[in-house]
Amino acid sequence: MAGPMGGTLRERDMIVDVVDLQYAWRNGTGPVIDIPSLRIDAGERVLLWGPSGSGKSTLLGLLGGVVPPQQGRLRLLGQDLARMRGPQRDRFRADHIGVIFQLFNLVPYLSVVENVTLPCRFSSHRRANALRQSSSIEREAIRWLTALELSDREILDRPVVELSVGQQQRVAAARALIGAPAMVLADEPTSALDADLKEAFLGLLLNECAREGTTLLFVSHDRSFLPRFDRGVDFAALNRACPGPSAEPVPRRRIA
Amino acid sequence: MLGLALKSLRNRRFTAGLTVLSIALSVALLMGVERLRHESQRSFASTISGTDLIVGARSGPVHLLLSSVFRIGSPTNAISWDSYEAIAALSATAWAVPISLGDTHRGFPVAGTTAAYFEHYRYARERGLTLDEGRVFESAYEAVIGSEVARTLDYRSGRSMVLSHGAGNVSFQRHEEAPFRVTAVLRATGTPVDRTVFVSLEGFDAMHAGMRQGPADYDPLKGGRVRRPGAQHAEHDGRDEHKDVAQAITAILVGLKSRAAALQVQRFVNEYAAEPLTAILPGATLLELWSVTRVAERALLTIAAFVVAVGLIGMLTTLLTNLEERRREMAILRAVGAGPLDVMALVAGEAVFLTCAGALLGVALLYGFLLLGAPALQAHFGLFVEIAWPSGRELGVLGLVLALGCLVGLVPGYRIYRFTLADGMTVRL
Repeated sequence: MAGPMGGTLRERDMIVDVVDLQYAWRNGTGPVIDIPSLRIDAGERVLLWGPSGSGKSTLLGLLGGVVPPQQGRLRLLGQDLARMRGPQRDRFRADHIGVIFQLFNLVPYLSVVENVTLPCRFSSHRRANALRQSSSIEREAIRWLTALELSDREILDRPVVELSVGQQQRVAAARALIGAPAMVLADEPTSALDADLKEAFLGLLLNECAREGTTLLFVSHDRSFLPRFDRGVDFAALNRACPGPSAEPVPRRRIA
Repeated sequence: MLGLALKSLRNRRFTAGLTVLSIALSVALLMGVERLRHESQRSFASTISGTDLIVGARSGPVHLLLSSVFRIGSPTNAISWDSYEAIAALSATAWAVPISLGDTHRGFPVAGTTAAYFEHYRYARERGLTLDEGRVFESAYEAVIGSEVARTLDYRSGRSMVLSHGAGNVSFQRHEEAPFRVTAVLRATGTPVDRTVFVSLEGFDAMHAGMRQGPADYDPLKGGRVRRPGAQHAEHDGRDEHKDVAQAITAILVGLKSRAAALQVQRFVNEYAAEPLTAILPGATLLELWSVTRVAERALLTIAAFVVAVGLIGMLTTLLTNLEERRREMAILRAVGAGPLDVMALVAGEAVFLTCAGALLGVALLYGFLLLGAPALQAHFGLFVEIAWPSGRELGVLGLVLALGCLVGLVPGYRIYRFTLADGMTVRL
């Protein structure tokens, strides 16, 4: 599925291609990640759920190129992350991946717009993508903020630390989406929001990803969102190293 | 990255400002100590040049140098006019200028000498004394004053002044009956000459004449005034007449025809049979003086260096304290594409920036202090500080501080590097 901003990378079918991926922290307690297979296609919006402490964040670290893979195949957009050196992975992440955290998403000393344009400072690729949409990256940031219902001048001028958590998460979403990255990794971004805001935030994020054709990997311990995603993955079933009760691999469900 | 670093610093401007200020003050102190050390040596060394030997009564060389040239400390004992003549008559001697010291005028030292002083005295390599206005004294009751005396007391040539006896700021014997007339003001030299009132040897003796009558003349109950029989002291013209009157001088500045003869003449003086004399080579004695002051200088420099160390450790503490808070910030930057080395550079670069800013501000403070404080240093310590560019040694000190600042920055830099490797993108603090 090629989005309106689709580049050549977007047209590749497979965004994530994991085979026999293993990862162990150095303290020698055995692998925390042992995934025989994981595949995410372009434009898919995937919910990954599982208990906390099961290694979800480690997987995100691996997919984001922050944690170097140790064993197995880890290909993103057809490129082998295991073969990349640290700076190359950093570059790759800057160009192709947007990240939304659970909390504390914003750099406190930057304005809302500066926070949103941050990826364009680190990636000329995303900067160029942003400039294809708007005349400046600041305008593009405001375009995204407007799409995420944060267009009030009053909000834009306020210090980011004074924004509500819900507003902060939407600014974070705008930052993850600006410059058309191929994939957005969201690490429990709704866990600090109350029920109404959760719904609203999720709706906005899913809509924008669908509109842009951005692949979304949404991690949560809450599987109640499942109906709204294209597909869900039970991390406990996916990860053989997961100490959870369901060690038996479960066939992945397609919902969409 | 640079923009980010600056915005981050601006966000913490209060602590950053304090850090910069503490580094600046410590740098200013360190450089100030070094500057004063250098300036005092330069100022001392440039005060006397062209004089090959200084002769005085038998005493320590440093004492003789300080009292005769710098007017610091009490004058050495008197020496006889005959000794002066003997030294002046030596074939190796090009010129010899007698000086009498021990009196002050409103806190400024008074020196009795001859007109030859203005001809032969040299400072700052080859510079001679210049009269700003007027002429050299020609009679006993005339005086030539240094620029600072003129400025402080607002004296001009033609004005009369009363010279009193005894060193010190307050003198309770005033010879108002025998006023001296200022005939000339010397151009500023940046040496103790500026602070000196010069009179002829005759004039100097005239001041003394009353005192030589003994303490009986001094009656504190009558207002502390002395009624001197010698108040109507006759004017002396010429040395011949003076020879009978002036019994004693304090020191002799000697210029030689050839420097090579200095040691020979020095030996002649030191072994002079008629009275115990000391001859010193000003340069060599200055070195001796430095060796005395070196201990204190080193102590001061060491203390200043420790203050700099304290400033840098303060910076390290601030940076490390901020580090925990900044882990989140760094995780965000990592997520948008910053590498661990970028993050390290951001934190270490901050230390470099703070040190540079501190060093620059410190230098600015130093020059500010120098500009504001130079007149006070001159007035109170007779130290003439030249506002010059930083010397090589000062730049070296500055470079060392910067290098240490960078080194200090590596500590939080390395820690955040380790943090970012361990944290990845998921910081839950």
